Amino acid sequence: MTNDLDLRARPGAGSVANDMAAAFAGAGFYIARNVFEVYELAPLKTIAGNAIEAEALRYQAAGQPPPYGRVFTCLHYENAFLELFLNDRFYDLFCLPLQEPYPVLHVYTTSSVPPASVNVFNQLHVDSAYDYGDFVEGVGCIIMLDEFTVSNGATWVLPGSHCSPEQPSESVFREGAVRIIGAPGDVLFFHPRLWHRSGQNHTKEWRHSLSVGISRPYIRPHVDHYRLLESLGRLPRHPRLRQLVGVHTRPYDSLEDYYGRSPGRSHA
Amino acid sequence: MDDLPAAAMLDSNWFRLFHQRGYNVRESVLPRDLCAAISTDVLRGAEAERAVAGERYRNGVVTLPFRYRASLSDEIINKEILWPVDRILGDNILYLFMSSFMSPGEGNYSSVIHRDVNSATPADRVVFVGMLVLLSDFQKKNGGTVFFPGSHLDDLCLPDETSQGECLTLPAGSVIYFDGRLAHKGGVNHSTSTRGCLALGFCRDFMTPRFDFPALLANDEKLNIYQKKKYGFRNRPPGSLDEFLLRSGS
Repeated sequence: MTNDLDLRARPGAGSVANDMAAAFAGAGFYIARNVFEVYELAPLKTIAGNAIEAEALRYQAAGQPPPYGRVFTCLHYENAFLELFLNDRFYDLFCLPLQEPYPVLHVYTTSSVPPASVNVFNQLHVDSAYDYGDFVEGVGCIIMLDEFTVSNGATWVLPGSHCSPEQPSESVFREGAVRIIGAPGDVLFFHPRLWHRSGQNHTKEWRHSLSVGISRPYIRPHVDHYRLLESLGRLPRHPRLRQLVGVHTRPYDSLEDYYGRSPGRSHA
Repeated sequence: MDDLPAAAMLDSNWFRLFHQRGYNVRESVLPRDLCAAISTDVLRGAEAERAVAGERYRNGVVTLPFRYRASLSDEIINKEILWPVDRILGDNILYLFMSSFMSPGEGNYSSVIHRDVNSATPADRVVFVGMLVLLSDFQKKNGGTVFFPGSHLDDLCLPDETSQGECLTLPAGSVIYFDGRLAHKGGVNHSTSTRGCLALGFCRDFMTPRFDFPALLANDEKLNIYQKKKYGFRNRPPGSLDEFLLRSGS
């Protein structure tokens, strides 16, 4: 059993599913290498960097400290972020632990570390406040847009900590945590109850990544992706993407809405 | 707990029975004349509903009944009635708010065995509580709801239609609280009077409600803090960068 998978090695689908499911249940995470090509991600990295700077200006104008490294949602800026879900290998690996036919997008932001600094994810945390034991309500992932190294703030995770209802002490985390080292295009998939944090960036360059979460369809997303994309005139047409942004799960906002929908619309 | 209404101070046995059977009841919570007044107002909405729904209209349903009775939020969305829901679920919001009437000689959409929660949910946690506020007497003859005790603990299958459930005989004004996973069905009304109830559902506050109540009630300035919380005004996800920054304090 492994929790480190290189898709260029063309592994068999059955063994991958078994290994990754076992890794998710045991360690609380798995890594897939070469999920995306660098050329696919390069434009997104540029957009993400610009978005971080633009939102920082909005915060500063209001006299607030910016949450450096995290944006409202990447979907505000470009649908190309969402279209990463059209990569079947990525989608299948992401959905594997949920075994949920109708997943929805929960969060889609950046997790980027400024030069010689830390970001908002440097505090030890889990992504879900609710502990339901063996029941998995969502899956998180970090898509590396830059190389993740020891010196530029690569993410720390504590294997098996998703089974712990309590936050591990600092010493327990330091002794047991492992560093997620990788290249652009690699993806870390993890349990929303896995204790983790980003590292400190000691270099002179930003270290960019995308932080994405999916969940079961009845979980309220961080952002109303449907309302956002509808207002921007960018609702996707692909059925998988429409499912993800909540076309079938968003609450009805009028009686006409309730009765005027297609028969296929449901809360799944 | 000091601010809880005295009438709602149910003992722990009440909640033990709720979890064991999947439901429990409080009798005569609302006065009978108030139930009659609510029925009259809400039933007026049926024709308006039919006009909007067209051929998709389901007999007996009035969705969003507060549209037809301005005081309904005050009468139903209050601690006196919802305190058991709050204790069972913790932080929760309204998932749906409908009414269900059954004319003489008829059943309605609820007359087949069903659960209100069909998605995979944690086996050992209640995440959804259904609530029926009876606007008329409920009994077997007039299509009173039939529950299948203990079925909330078996997520694998519904009881078949030949299974014997429990049909509760209760006076108007009573409130039935049930686990959303509990199998139940409406009967068929063999009496000469319309049988009616309000049907509400509450879910944990991290879940997505069926209706966007903050949008539907945006112009209702009379809602109090508790009602706004129940209707999910604090839980609506931001749909734009401006909304997001506003909540972030900038």
